[in-house]
Amino acid sequence: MNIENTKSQMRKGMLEYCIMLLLRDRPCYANDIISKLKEAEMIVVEGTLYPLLTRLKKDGVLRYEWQESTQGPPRKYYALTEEGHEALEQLNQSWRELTTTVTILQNTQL
Amino acid sequence: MKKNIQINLYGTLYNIDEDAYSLLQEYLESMKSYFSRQDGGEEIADDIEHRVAELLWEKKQLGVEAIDYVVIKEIIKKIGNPAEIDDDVQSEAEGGGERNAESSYDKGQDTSSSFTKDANEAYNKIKGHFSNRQLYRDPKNKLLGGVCGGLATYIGWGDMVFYRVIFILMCLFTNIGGFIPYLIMWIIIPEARTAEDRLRQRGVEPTPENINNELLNNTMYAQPQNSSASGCLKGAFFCLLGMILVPVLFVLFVVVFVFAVLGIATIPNIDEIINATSNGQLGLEIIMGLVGVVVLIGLLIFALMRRLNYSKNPLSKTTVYTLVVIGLLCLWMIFNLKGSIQNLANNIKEEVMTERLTADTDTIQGMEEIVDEDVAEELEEIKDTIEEMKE
Repeated sequence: MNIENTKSQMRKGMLEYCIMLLLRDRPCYANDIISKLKEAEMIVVEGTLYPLLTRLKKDGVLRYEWQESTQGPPRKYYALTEEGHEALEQLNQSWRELTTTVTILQNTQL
Repeated sequence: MKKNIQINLYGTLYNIDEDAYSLLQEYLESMKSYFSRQDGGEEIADDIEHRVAELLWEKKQLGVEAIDYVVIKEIIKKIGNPAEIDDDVQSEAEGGGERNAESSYDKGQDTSSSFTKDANEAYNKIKGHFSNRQLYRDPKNKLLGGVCGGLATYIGWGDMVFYRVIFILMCLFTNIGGFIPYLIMWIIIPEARTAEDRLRQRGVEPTPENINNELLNNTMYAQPQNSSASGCLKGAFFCLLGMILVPVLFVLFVVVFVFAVLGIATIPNIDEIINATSNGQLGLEIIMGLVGVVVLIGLLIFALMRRLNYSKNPLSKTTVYTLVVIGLLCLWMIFNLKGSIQNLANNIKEEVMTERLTADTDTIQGMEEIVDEDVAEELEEIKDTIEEMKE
């Protein structure tokens, strides 16, 4: 069994959910998201984030607005849309179920 | 020591080494071409460019004066290369590639009935060779359009010099007509601009690793030619060529121009000759031919002048094509004139010959008449003498 592969598959599956979690309270720009995800070792290369953000935006989960910055180039601030918040609620629910299942599986004696 | 250039990224200026610049440019270019295949791809590439700008800004804040090769390499490693970033698309593309390979294999099987086994194998081999590869022009080894370099890489056999020689021979044997296929290829075949293009040209699959290697290994010689030793040599060569050729061409230009204006008017009986031989059409051809010569020489002077100070902005593609087409047109007009003048010369020769012939026949007839008269007179005389003797 290729453990590294499985681990990366798990991370990949949760990446969208994690991005939505990071954005649930306040808008962030890509750098914030990247540094948080890197801290959590969710992504290896930074570029991975951009196709995801574009896709989520296309799905109507995210929106962004440009803001001028005194610190370098203008920034895109991403935020959850109404639809995004609803989707996040559903994902939270499903995550709770998943963890419960996994915890049960971990603790049951077979 | 390295040449340093200044770039403007979203309103901030950065000093960046030349080799680092070409690496960065290549990287962003490959991002663009990779993501352009999917929806919103432009935006992704744009986001990545923003990210690069941000990372460069951070470096600048840390007091890095000049961005060098190492910094850009670091940034590329951090952001990742296109295929690494985009797993989904990559796996899709791989699926597609397999399907294509299968279908081409099927085709190979279908035709097997008519071929012998060996021929079929060879056929599949060749097919496999070309189905992996794509034809690009090679901008790094080019004299004109990089067509020959691209062909050599695509076919995978022979040096590009070989293909160049073939094209030159074709031009020589067909009165420049052989240049036309080259020109067409030049226009149609795309240039291999990114690392991905270069991999496909050689039939190597553009996996993340391969792209990375290609990117890092080959940008070193992607530097502008001016700075390299061969660039200097080339520059010196063209300078020398220019110093000799420009005055010569200029004098030629003036001479031809003066003759074109004065010459036509001063050739004696030009109108008669033209009218007599080709219903006045030749006049047009002479003018066209002379215009062709003048314009062609003018073009050569222009090209050499540009070659001499190549700090100027490069000409746009369209301008180059237009100039090449104009040059070919001039050549055509000159050859056209050459043919017509030969015809004219033949016609004149013929006319002179017929004139001479009629003149000759006239003289002969005249002589015959004279001879006849003489004989008749003599006969008369003899008759007279005989009469006298009889009496």
